[in-house]
Amino acid sequence: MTSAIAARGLTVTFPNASLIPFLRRAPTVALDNLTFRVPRGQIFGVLGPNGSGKTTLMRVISTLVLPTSGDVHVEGYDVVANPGRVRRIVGLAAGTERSFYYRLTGRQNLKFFAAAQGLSRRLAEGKIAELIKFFDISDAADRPYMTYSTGMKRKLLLARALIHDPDILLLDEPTSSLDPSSAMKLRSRIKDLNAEGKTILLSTHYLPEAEDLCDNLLLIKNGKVHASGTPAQLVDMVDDHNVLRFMVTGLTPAILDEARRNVDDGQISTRFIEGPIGLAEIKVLYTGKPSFLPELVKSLVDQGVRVTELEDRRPTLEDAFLKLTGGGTI
Amino acid sequence: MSVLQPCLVEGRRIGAFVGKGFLVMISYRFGFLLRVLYVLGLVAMFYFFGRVFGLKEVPSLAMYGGSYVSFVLIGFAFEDLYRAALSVYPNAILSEQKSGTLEYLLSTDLGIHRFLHYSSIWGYTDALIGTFMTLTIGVLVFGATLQANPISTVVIASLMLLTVGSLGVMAAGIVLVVKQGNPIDFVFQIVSMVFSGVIFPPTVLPKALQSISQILPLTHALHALRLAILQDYPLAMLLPEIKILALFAAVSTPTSILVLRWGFNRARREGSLAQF
Repeated sequence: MTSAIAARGLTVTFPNASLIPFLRRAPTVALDNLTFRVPRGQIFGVLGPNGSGKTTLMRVISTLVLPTSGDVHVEGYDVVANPGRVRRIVGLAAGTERSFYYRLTGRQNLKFFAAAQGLSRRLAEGKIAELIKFFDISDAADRPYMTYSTGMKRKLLLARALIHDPDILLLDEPTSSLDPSSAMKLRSRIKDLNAEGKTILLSTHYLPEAEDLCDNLLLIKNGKVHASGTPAQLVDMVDDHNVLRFMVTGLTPAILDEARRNVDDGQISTRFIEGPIGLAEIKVLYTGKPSFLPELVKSLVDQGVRVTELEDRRPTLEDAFLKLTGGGTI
Repeated sequence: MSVLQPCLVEGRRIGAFVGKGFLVMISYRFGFLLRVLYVLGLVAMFYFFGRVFGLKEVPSLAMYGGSYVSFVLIGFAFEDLYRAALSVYPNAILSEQKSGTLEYLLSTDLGIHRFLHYSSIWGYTDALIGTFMTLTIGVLVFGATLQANPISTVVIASLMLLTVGSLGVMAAGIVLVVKQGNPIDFVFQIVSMVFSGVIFPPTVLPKALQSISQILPLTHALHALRLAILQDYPLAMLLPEIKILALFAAVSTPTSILVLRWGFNRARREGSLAQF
């Protein structure tokens, strides 16, 4: 299968080199020797916690960040040697809510960006009408952007990325800060776009979204690739494991540190659902028999933690992610 | 049609940048009101100059016709344009960074150079309107007499914009790296205002300071513009100034391309294009 995007040994080190010598800091390695291929026509997910390098990767592919070493080709064009070609092929949907002209309407914004992409007036008007309909933002199209809800802003971001009909879409956490219903609708639009033939590189730290949308996944943490494959293949990588899941209250970081001594450190993860000492979830990924269980429960209960739920189940993609990236949180 | 197509595309892009600048400007009603007040303030200032100096002959301005009002009119009218040429490019970067739109625009096939120049056109248009308004007020309200040579005026003004615009492009390259604070803007705006003959001729400066005025492009541009607009000097008589401005342009234009490329690539290496 032909690759839409191919990276080989991609490394990005931000020098943090201030012009003023005493303000210089140590360089930051944002991407560390990444090698991967995105097959044409797929939704390819880049999965990783905050600060793992997902956004930097998107920026390299869209020519906004220069690689320190290695190379990236988009449809055969090198992002450093042929940035103009690459820019015509990719559509970037990245950024915060502040990435449009606040006082212009959604339609005026799209008209401006369509012209910046070099579309003729007739083509732009047709495309804008089509995108406004596709993303269901007709009611808001002629209102100033500053009045838009987060969901509408996300839709406009995607509409802008599609304005020049690119072959490849780069979507950086497209559903972040959306309510579940809006996120589901947007995911459905992303699937439609893929069905129309677009190759989509999607970064996310939301695992159910990755599982739902992506044909292939690249797991990165601290700029390094930890694993890659289809969601099913990644789960298969921890097929010999099981997961013990506790729901608890009264857990504190100090108690958790104590509890960790009973389990291999890399296998335990915690999520505070209602803040410290409120409802929390502890997950332990293990192989063989859970011989650590009595000691772990005793350690928790002795320190006043109340275990409200205990479940022993097969691993999910999230568990695979935690195992393959060496634990921690997403 | 195929030859025209790229021109139409670029024309539409330029139109979009100018249109966006206009729409954003009128959307800030208070800012728009302040601009109108600024023009009214300028009228008041000219009124003051008119009251003080009238159309009396000033011996040190004999080569420009002797009228201080006419002298200062040209100084203010073109200093506005000069200031615009210095600031439109770095301001384009800062403004798009603040809007959060810089990265998207640079991810299109516009590239940094076309992006900067198209963004600057609205700023130049705005400044040109100011220049014409200032000249019109000077002539209609204060009776300043202009005997302009249009060709000389356009050639000198274009050379000034090319030279100073290049300094502005350099400033944009520096702003991409340093984010805030623009040394080129500081040096050339403040120093030029004092030494280039905007409100008084450099010949009244002490000898040692006059040499500073000679290395500033605005000094030569204003001198030549005054001769062209107030004394109807043809191009042939302005050749010394044209040569100096052309020399400035020959040095500053390629330097500006290099500095912008350096700033753009450095910001891309640091991943800081959007930071301000």
